[in-house]
Amino acid sequence: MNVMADKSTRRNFLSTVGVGVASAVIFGVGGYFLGSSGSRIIERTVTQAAQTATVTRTQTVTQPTTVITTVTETAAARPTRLVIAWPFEIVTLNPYRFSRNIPVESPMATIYDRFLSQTRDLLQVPGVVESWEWGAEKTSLDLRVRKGIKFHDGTELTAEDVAFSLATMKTPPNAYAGVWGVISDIQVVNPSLVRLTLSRFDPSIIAWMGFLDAFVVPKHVWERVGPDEFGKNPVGSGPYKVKSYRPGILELERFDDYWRGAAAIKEVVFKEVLDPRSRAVEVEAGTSDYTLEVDINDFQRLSSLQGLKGVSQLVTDVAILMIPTYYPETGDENVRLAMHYAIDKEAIINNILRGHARVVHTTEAPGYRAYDPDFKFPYDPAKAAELLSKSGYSKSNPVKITVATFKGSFPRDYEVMQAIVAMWAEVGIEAQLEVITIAQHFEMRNTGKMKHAHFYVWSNATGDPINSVGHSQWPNSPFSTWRGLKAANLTDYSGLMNQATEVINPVFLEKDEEKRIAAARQAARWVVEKGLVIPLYQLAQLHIMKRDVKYDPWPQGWVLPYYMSY
Amino acid sequence: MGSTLLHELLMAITSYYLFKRILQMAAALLGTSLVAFLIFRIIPGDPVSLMVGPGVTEEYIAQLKAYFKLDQPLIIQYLYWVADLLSLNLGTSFRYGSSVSSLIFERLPATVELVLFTLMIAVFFGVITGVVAAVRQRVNTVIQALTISGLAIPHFLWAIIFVIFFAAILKMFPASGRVDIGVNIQTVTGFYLIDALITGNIDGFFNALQHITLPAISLAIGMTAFIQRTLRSSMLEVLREDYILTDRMKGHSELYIIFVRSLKNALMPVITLTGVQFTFLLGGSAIVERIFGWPGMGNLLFTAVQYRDYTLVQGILMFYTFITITVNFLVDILYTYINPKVEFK
Amino acid sequence: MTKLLEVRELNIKIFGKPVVKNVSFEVESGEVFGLVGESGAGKSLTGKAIIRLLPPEAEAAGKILFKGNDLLSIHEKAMRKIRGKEITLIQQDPVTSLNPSFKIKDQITDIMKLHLGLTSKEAEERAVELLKKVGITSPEKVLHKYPHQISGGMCQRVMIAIAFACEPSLVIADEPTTALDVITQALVINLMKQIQRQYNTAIIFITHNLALALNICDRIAVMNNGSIVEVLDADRVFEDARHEYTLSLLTSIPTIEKSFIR
Repeated sequence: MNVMADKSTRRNFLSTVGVGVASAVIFGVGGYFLGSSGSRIIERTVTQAAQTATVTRTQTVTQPTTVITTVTETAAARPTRLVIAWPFEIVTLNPYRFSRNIPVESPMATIYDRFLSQTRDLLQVPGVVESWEWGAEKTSLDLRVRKGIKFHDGTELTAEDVAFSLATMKTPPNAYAGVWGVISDIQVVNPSLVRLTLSRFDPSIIAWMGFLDAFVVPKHVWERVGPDEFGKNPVGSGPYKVKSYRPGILELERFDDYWRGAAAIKEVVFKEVLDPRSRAVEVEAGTSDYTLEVDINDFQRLSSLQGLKGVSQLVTDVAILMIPTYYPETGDENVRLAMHYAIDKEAIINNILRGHARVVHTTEAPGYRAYDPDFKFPYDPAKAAELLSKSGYSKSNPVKITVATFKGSFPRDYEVMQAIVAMWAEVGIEAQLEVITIAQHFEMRNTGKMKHAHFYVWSNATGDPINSVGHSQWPNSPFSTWRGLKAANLTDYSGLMNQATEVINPVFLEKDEEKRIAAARQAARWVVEKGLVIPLYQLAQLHIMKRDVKYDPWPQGWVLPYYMSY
Repeated sequence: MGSTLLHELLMAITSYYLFKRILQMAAALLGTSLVAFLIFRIIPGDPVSLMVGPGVTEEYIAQLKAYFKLDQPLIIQYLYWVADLLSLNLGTSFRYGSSVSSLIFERLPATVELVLFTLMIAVFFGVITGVVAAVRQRVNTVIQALTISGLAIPHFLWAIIFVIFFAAILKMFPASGRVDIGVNIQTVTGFYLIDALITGNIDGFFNALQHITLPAISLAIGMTAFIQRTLRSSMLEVLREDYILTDRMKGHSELYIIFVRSLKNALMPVITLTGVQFTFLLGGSAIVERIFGWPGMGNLLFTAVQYRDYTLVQGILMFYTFITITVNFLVDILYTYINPKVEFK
Repeated sequence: MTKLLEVRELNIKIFGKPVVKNVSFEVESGEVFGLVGESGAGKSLTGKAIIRLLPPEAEAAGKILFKGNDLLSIHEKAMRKIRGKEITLIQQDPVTSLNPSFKIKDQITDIMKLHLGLTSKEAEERAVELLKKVGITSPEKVLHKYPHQISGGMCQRVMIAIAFACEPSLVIADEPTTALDVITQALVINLMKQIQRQYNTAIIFITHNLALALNICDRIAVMNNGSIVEVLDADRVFEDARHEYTLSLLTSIPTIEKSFIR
């Protein structure tokens, strides 16, 4: 899946410190120019300091018990607003328009409701759709729509809206139209029942209903204003409604009639701050209460600051090395497996990622449906060397490959790959590192121009194996390394393509859910044992928030203000 | 004075010059359209792959490519696009699905406000320091030293320094955004400073001023240095002119001679420079915008390039070209106003 | 006639190198005094020293007594009251000595507003008169033009108008006609003399053209290599000239021109 968080390079940070001294003189000039507004600024910081003072006081008083009722007066001074320094641009609030990675959709998930909800364990549970039932042959699906849900404009959410939303989503060029394309007919049976007819069985459709763009929009508003205007002044049924939306700032206000019960915090603001450093400054300076995706160094530093806390939450992002088999070198199973055995994942996590990751042995992280707790792929450099020698390679006569990586697209991506290249060199693999962009990665993958290995982060918030081992490895998926091989009609030096298809097929086609998951577990193991993919680690998302904010980040990577409180 | 400018403008409009100018504009736009169109199609990156989610079939990808006409030969794609351009339609963003022009106009005011404010600061300080450097040798040494650091350190580095120093450590200025959350400025022009003033929102004005200060100064430093240098050398030249001796001979004060009689002549290259810098800043402010969470065109362009949103990138480039041409045109007119020797030819 | 200007032992150095050496002369009120010499003789610098507008690299020593005040030692502020009002300067190239960015009106009225305390309207009326006096037939039109829109001769007339605008007691005319064609030269010279007589203004006429100097001046000082070699009555140059250098200048005057003198 497309995780495309972008983080600009953090390297130049340190180098600026020296320059800072030299610039002191010019600060003087600036200070002179700003002389007139200086008093205002001081005034502001003073009141700010006063505010934080009262906040900490109320906290210490109210925390022990609720005995002192007189203090509830001060409790009213508890913040009613939470500002999130947001790492992504907010350009439209039309929920269907563009492809997103997981956190990006958080503002949408705050304004709209999905058909289904998902628990922290990645399970699909009732949401707007109260219950669902497969028809015979699993090619039809009945969705029962919950009664009593209100849109922000006060109208009731009905089966009409659910049907309309589905129909809209499946129309190109909406980003996920392809996903919903499997729905051949949508029928409103009665105000609380929608019947879907599927062109073929698709086991992932349930997962999709609690994922990405599966939001419910009010038909009457959408039809009246059209998609563009709707994207500016959206109406949903989610816990917050839009108070104001201008470029860069989305101000939300609690929707008191929310069907799950009103949210704790009255106002929530998503403030666009794309630079990770600047987000750190935002929370440090106190202008934002919450942020995420900061640099690891900033995370350590900010966590230790008074008034702030850091939470490192493992999320459903798995870093892998994709190995195309259209090179003779990587067509050799010994080489592929040696590449895997030679990587000390623990060392990478501890030394480079400072512990903000967890080792994985397949594409399925703990919590994913096809996670296999019994399968381990050990770090074994001796085994790696042995395998290489079988193919005639050694440290003095290394196998030469090129590896592609990003630089700054994912936490420490480039540094991790540098470490891996060094580890490989120890066993007899001489790798050249090449930096590419995500756009280039897709192009190379699609056209059969990948290097011997590509670093990538595969994300699967549904937990369904279709979206991890399935789409990343299945030769029929347009997202697998096989796609380029097929498109460019290249030689599969491993000779494993047909077998891979067979092994992974059940993940997409098996109708018995238990059998399907079992098959997926097998498949996930098989692709690793054959060296077709090298799973590295599961990434953590780094959150920084004010100490008095109560929030437990979600493993899906969502930032959900509904679950936040002071 | 104002009437003169208006007069020049009217003359320009009615003259042959304008016709020629429009032809030039059209040629420039055509050239840009070609470059803008080709540049992202030559470098790798497939917008459709970047656009669609997972679980997509090959057929759907083909369908989407057809929808965006990406399956057509390049020349046909180009002609479609140019035909749209001619009807003043910049097209629909691949990624956001919204019309490119509405995306641009939503974010443009923030950038233009920042750029104009930057120019004001840069011109103000550049002119003052430039003049002082030209007439006071001792101060000149100090100014030259500052200028070198101003030129040597790129604007995004200043931005980082300022964010850390003034926002994080001193907490004197906000780190990002155009105004504090909760400060509401009624939109009239989209320029917060102006809007706040015309709606009499003084608090809003000062709040917006605080927010714009750091990004504008980071951008302005290098430019101030540039203007300072340019003005200093042209000022030194002008001060040696016979006509300045004439003005001295009349008994005018030194200040009057410098700031009125000389400056108007010495400003000529500065105006050209400022015009060039304006368009340069439009694009160049992107990184600074990013650092200061400034919701302008920078962020939009960033993601547009990242996701190969062809139409959006093309639209923004065309729009920038249009602005560049227009600004050059205005600079020329301003030029003739300040230097009557230059005429529309 | 009273003594208006007395230059005593004027020395000028440029970057420490002496270029004007011990120059002394006197100018009476209403007198046209010529400073004649080849280019580089130091006559221009002498002229500029009197109005104290030497370039920054030049250094002047000695005494320049104007109406009893030593111009080299008075405060700059006092000097500015003298410049434009009491002493003015006409430069060689009329086109470059007018500011290209301002209209003629601005450049002629400013001096009157500055020294005579006239309002814009009064100054403009007087500017029209002045321009008429210097022989410009449609002064109102010229006032609204920029220097590059009028001819060189016209420019010099404007410069003369400016120089005489505040009826100064001394005008320093530094090669005022060199850049003009012969016919315009004659016209401009006549004009200057005419106005000079009318206002009884003293003129220091700086030129390399001895014939011209003889034509216009009452007395001339011949300069060579930074020094004055002799001062002569213009009427009696041919008779009184003693110095070798003066004589060589005299012989270089074409005979045709000689016949024009007086």
